[in-house]
Amino acid sequence: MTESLIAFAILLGLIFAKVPIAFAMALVGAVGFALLRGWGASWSMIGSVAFETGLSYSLSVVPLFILMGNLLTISGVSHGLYAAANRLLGGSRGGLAMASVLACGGFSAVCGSSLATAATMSKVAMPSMRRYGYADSLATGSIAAGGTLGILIPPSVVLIIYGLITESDIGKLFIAGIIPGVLGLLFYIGAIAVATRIKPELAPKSEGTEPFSRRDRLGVLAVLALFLLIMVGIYGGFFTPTEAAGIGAAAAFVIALAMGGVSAGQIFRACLESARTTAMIFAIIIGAEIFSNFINFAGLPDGLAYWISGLELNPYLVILGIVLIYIVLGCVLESLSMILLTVPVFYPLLYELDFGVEILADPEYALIWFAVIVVVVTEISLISPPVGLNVFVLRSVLHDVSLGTIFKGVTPFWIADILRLALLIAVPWLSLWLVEAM
Amino acid sequence: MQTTGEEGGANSTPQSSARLDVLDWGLGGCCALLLLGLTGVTVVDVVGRYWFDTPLSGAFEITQMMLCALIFAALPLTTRAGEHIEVDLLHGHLPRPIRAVTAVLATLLSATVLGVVAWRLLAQALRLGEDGAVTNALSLPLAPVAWFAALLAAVSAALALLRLTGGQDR
Repeated sequence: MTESLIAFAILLGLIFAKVPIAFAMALVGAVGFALLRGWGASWSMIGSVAFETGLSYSLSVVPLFILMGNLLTISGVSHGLYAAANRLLGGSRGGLAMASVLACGGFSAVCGSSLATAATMSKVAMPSMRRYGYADSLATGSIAAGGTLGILIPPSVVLIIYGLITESDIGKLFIAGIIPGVLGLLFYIGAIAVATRIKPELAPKSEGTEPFSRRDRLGVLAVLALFLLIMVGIYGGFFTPTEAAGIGAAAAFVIALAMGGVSAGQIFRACLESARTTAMIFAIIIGAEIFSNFINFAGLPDGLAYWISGLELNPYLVILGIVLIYIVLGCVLESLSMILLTVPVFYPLLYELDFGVEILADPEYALIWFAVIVVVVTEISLISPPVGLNVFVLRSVLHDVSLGTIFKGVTPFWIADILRLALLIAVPWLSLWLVEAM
Repeated sequence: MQTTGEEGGANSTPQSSARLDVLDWGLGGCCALLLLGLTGVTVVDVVGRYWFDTPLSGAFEITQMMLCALIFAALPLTTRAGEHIEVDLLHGHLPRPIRAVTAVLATLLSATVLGVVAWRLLAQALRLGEDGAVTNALSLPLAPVAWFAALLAAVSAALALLRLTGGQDR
């Protein structure tokens, strides 16, 4: 276990020295493996990990879901979602901010990237919120927070990667994400209602509704249809969650063409961008794989599980400890690397803990519940200071709003997220009910 | 797309305004075709299986090989654009000379890792070639994919080194 802790310390040091996370993990993992097993073993481990990760069929979802998201981004469906959400919620105080959260949730669910959602939605929702005199803090906060919702609402690349690490059923993970995801949406809307009640100057009393064009209606219908296609396809047994990505990308092509106004150049750039993001993500996956080969060989996950079970702590205390570690790590690490680094270490613990709740007695269900918790904590990290990525994305799109303003605007949502996290931990049934019912 | 501090967005200029060069057109075209291919294979396989009862044979392994090719074809582009995720939290607050030194070291480490990966993939390719390893259903040889991956990992290593001269750390 000592070797693993030293390795983690060196890894963090390298990451803070601005070595790309992927290469830092590969380097520490390879050297550590070599010190334990010899250089020959380490060299061949690197080669086979790099090649076999590249050949991994189940990871083909990564480029295809990213492509689907990028195609939807250029298709302009985001405007329709916003206009529809505005129709639905425009009447109440803070209605446009609530509409932003709803539209962000809907868009990020099918787009899959919270960063792309924040960037896209800021262009759609920000101008109208400004026109009606919303405070910049609430306006930017609702977009940054709303963008995080999608990584829990299926389809979700993060849940797929969790499923691959822990060998959980990806279809069940997707189903488990639905209620907590919708709960997040409701909590965010509640946060806006409370924030505007405490500080009425944040939002105007009421606002007119945005015009709703035919193209907007087409956009909303397209997003709903895509979501239904994927869910019905997976659960109706028409295709697997892995194949859903390919089908989704094809459907996104059709949507982009049907919406009109998308040029061949834009499609080429969307492909180019998807490819570059794919390589970035695979570099991280390969690096994390090399690192966790070393950590596993050094015996950290088993050692930790053995040590914790020996302490005979209250299992909820252990979960609380893990959540705290995630919140701290989330302040400095990017979300995918955080999940790839920590889930292999923590998930064997789930087999050791006895929560005294019937539904969690089955390790398969405990792992699904843990997935929801991990993803919600990751969502929180996306809007936590000092490096909440969604906040930085908004900052880079809106040059005239300061980071401090956005972080201030995110605060009510952050509190809502912590409440939701507590609720999800206390009531595992919320995450598992649909899984059991299916 | 990176976790940046004060210097945020130094590398995140919207690509839509950037001009495309030979590498973008060559490798990027290759990536675009592979993405279309991956999408097409899934659609043909699913539609064929469900409606015509004739699944595309070997869809699984074609997907695998295209995925591998896609990742390594895109790697030089990602590396050149400096899009590998870095954490800029502490780094931005260090004194300028230390920042310059660590930036050079970080670049050298990145290039080394990519170089080692290229070398190991080459060894993999040679071994697969000697064994004459082929896929299960279609008997496609695996070695060429490994050769391709090794070559592009090497190109990425070279491009990472080139960033030393490009003044990536403003």
